[in-house]
Amino acid sequence: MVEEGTRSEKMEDMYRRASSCSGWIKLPSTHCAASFSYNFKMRVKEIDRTANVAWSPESKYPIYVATGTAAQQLDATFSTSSAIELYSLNLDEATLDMPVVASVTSDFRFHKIVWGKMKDSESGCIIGGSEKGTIHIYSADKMLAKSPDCLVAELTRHVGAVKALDLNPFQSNLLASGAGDSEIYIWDLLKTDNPMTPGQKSQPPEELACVAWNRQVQHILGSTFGSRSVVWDLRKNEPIIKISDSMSRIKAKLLAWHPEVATQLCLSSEDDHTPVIQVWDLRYATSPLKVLESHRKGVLSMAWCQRDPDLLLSCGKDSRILCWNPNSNVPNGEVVYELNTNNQWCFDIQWCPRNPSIMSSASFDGHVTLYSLMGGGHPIQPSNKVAESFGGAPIGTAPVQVPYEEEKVLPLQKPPKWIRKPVGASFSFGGKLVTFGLEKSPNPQQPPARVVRVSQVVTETDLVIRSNALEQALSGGQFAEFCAMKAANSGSDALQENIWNFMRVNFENEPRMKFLQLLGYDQNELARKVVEYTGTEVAASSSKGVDAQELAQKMSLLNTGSIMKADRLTASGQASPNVGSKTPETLDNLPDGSSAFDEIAGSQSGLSGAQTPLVIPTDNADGLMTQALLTGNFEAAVEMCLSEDKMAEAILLAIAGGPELLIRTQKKYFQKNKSTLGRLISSVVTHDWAHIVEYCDLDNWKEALAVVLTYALPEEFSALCDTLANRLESERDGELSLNASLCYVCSGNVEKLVQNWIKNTEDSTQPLALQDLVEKVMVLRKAVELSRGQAPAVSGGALADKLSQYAGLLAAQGSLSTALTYLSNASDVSSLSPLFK
Amino acid sequence: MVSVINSVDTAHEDMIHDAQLDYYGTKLATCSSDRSIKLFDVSNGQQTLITHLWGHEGPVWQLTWAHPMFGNMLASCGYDRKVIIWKETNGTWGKLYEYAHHDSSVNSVSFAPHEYGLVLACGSSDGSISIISSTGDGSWDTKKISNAHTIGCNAVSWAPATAPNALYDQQNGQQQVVKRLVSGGCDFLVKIWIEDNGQWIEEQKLEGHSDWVRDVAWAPSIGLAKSVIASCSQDCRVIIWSNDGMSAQWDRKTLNKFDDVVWHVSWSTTGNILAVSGGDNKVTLWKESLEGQWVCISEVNKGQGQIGDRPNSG
Repeated sequence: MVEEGTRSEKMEDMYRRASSCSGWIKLPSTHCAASFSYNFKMRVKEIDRTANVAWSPESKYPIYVATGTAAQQLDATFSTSSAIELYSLNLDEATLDMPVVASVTSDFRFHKIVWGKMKDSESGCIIGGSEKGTIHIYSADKMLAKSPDCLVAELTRHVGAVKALDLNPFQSNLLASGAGDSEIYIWDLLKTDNPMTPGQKSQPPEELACVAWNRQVQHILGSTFGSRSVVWDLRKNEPIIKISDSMSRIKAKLLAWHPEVATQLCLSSEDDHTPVIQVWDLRYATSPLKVLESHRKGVLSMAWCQRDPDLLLSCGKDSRILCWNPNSNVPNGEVVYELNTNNQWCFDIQWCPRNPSIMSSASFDGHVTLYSLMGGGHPIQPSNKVAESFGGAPIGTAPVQVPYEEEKVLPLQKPPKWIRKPVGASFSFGGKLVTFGLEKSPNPQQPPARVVRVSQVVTETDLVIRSNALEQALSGGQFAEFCAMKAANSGSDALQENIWNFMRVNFENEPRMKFLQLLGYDQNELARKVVEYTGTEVAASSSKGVDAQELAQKMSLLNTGSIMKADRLTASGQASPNVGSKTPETLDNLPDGSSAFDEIAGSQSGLSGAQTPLVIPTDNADGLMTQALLTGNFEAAVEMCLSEDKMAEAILLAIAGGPELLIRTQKKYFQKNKSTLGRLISSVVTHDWAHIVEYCDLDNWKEALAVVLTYALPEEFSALCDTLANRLESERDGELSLNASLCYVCSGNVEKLVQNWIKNTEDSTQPLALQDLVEKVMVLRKAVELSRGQAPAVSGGALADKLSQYAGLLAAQGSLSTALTYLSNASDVSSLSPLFK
Repeated sequence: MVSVINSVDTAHEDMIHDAQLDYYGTKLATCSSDRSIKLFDVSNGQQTLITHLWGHEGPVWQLTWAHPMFGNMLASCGYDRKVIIWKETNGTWGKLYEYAHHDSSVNSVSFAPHEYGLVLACGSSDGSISIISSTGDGSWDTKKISNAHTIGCNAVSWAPATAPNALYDQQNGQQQVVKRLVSGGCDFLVKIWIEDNGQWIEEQKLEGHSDWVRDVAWAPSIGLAKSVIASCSQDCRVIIWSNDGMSAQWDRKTLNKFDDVVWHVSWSTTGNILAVSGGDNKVTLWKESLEGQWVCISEVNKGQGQIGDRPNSG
């Protein structure tokens, strides 16, 4: 813990330790503790030319450097050849070399070159001011294309060497040029035949050293002559101010405008007696605002960084390259940086417009060097030219490679503006977004508030709303209402409506009967139809009408007799585990099967007995049967009836002959009767529900489900539903697969429901689709829990997968506590681990 | 819907450069040009200053939280060329380790997925990337990628530990943990680095930006074989790079060209939403549509915004 109060002591202590243990860290001799020198690789690229330099415009990518052979410089060969060359800034190659991509020879050497963008030209044009008073304009596109006619224009108005050139930053076709005899021309590069001059020639005639357009106001141009500096207003075509310092007459060579403040500029002096840079504000033009004094000899070049007005480079005849903060109030100027220059004069220095950390310097020793302000250059390989010139011959016992002195530079104390990140937005767990940015202070006197905001991002608004509704229903126990709401809102999707209705029924009384209704088997409706069809009042005599189920129950009792009554209660009474209690009162009111038939038989016998005497036949088939009956041989009698195709008699006799005989007789009957209805009756009577679900035509899946709902025993109910569902899923290429979900809802098979859903859902990772599933799953689990006393466990598998996916979705929307409830059974999701703190 | 749940006045004395919530979203760390780091308790809507950390001698650029299995731990980097790892012990925060072997501003720090142990990557203006690992006995092991990006590395981001590494597996025929990270720099490049036999080597060089790459972010794995990286740049563009996990090919898709420099990109933890913050103070949220198009779903202003398919068509 470092408290603020003890901070400086700690820092000092740290420096002591750092300096004592790390050999490469040297404590600075003059500056504050923060800026010690260290290995700072600044040199990035090098070109072996004595040349003036122009960077490609900011809009141009990739970046190039144009060089124009410098006038009035000679190397040891006294060569006077001249060329404009283009080099590519190949930063991705870890070498000091830059490849020449274009080269055009010229008849003259250059004092100044500039590179500007041009309308309808990708790379713009390169303009050189020559020693012979001409201005050469080259098309950069043509140069890069290695086209022979890249010199597109040659302007020949000037007298004397053209040393001053500048392109207007607002209108790139406006070129200002200056040469001897106080001549300034403003050229329209699109129409170069008639340049304008800004007012009267300044007297006495002097050579123009520099022209510079204002960075904020496009019609203001600055210029320096040998002894004075003049600012022109081109709208009025006249000089508006002459800058002269009554106190110390400097010989201004260069003028640089402030990148952001329209009225401020710097003037540099080449005079060794006054090697200073003056900062002027034209609003107070009687004396400079400040004077930057550190150069020991005249200043040769100066460049103000367009990306950070706190950085001004200058180089001079004292072989130093300095970087100033011209806005600092430190007396005599604040040098924020000094570059190592190997003791060579630099005559030109420039910032790279596109890559602000890079600057170029041109020196009299024949090099154009590119530096990186922030370091990160390449390790400098010592030159082995000396060794090469000796042809590799041994030149003594000393190592050929002299240890190269690493550049030791002070870093910029304040980071340049372009690396100070002003904004940020970072996500963190649970859809939280942390944002900060520059905020304007309501009161300019006050510093702006430094606020960081934590926001909740909810992209799945519908999901969150629906999740909340679900959680409310689950915690409030309003399951039936929830299902009803879902069914009502399922729109035109009949299946969804059905599923939700099925779900709802699970929470109501007599669910199985209601399942049947939902499948379209309404008991009252059926009763009405039966009446219509038969025209009897039999059905109407029962207040409830003839219930399909009741009917079936009666049928099912046929083979059992009253002794089976207890079984029968369970058989169709509590049909399925999730279906709650059945209709006991209906069952209690049921006459048992045999007595029903007794009644029928009784009434028949009563009728016949009353009206016709009973004649007992004694011969032929009837006779045989009679004998059998008289001897109590029901078996034989039934056989006789069957062979005579007297089915009703056979069944009646079989009832009298006992359950075993009845079952056998039924079987024989069904063997004979192969009709569809017969098969159904067969299944109903023999309790062979499996037969129905396994063999029914799938178009009749609803009927099959109805049968199962009506008759199946609780222990077989689920399995039967699942079997039917299975068939729906697997047969006919899954055409009816969707309907299987209804069966799973009936059987309460949550896992299977999930699998069915995955199979039938196109994009099962879509949030709302997943919400759909989870709603069903959670409600169904509740239903099962209600009927069985405990919810089915989630043990891995598709359900667990989907639940953890769902939890992930919820967590990402910030619903952390809800998400956690879905994870209790699926905890191996590392991305959600922040939930388990 | 983007709604502010907490607004913290940090009272930093200069520009804020980074703000990060911890793993559980209960602690907020901020750092600033005022050379300090502040920690706030932001649980349950509060904004209580926990501690004010001093130790950097220049602007502090970036912060990264370690996985809580290593305790409460935070790393910071700054213009003073230092990386500092801070740790809470017995309720007090202090320096655990200081790394000072970069030659220029350290612009980015990022803790590796916890599966790799306590490992930190740092990107510096000196062009190099350091990978600092705790050996477990209190000392730290360092590897350095020199000249990773000429004239400076601006951002580093780790591939998720579950990232597919099909290429590597095919060569070796076995499942191995392959560590990868992505970096962006002043050479306009995005580079992918892979650890091979303890050495970090360049695996991919992704060219597409035409100015400084300001930030890179490797998307969290969402269980698919695909790898996705977002990069943003001074050239005002955000590029989404994707690899299908089968080939060495990285597809490039420009998410958008903005009106200003894009400084920062950040993926949601589920990996499907990208937050983009730019020099015009604008924060936008982006999502890939089913057709594979990137759509702006929200513009966030002072922490607030609507969610829609394309607000203001911006």
